[in-house]
Amino acid sequence: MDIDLVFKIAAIGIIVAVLNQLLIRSGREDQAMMTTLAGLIVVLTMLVRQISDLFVLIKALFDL
Amino acid sequence: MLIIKIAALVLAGGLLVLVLKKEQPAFAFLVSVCGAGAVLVLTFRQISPLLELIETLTSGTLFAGGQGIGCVLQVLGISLVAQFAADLCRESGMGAAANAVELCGRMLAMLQALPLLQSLVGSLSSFLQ
Repeated sequence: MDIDLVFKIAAIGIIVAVLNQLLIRSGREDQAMMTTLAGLIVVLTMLVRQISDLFVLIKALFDL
Repeated sequence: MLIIKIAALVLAGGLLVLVLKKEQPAFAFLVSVCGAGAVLVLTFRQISPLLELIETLTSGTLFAGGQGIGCVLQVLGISLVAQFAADLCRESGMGAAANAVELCGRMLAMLQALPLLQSLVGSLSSFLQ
């Protein structure tokens, strides 16, 4: 959970945005939706792992 | 210095959120979640020795409120997590859910502080008799 994760997620977001526009312009709206969902799922799996590490750290610190 | 690192991180995160806001609002929200999480992790890693010091200081019998500090720390943890979740809800536009999370956080904190309250009332009543 550091600055490089923020950049990674932003990079995936920008790539998905560009791909989205590309696919929409070429008339394949459904594939555009698919790539957006795929990008979201990839980012969510990365983020969930980091958020669970954060909550484990909080639990250890405040012995919740 | 940590504070400069956090300021740089938040600045970069804010910029990236604005870049992604128009095209992909979902990714903008995920970037802001990750930015907030990164700041929290950096601060908690910084203050963990402080919390251990507090626990070692108060675990000695010389300080009467030894178990009180444990309750206070737990209430602090609960309120931090509830505040973090409520702010993320508000960030993504769910105002009602944010208030619900805050209410739940207050209830849990009060539940956590009940034994402290009981010992206070017990000691007060023993003084008055």
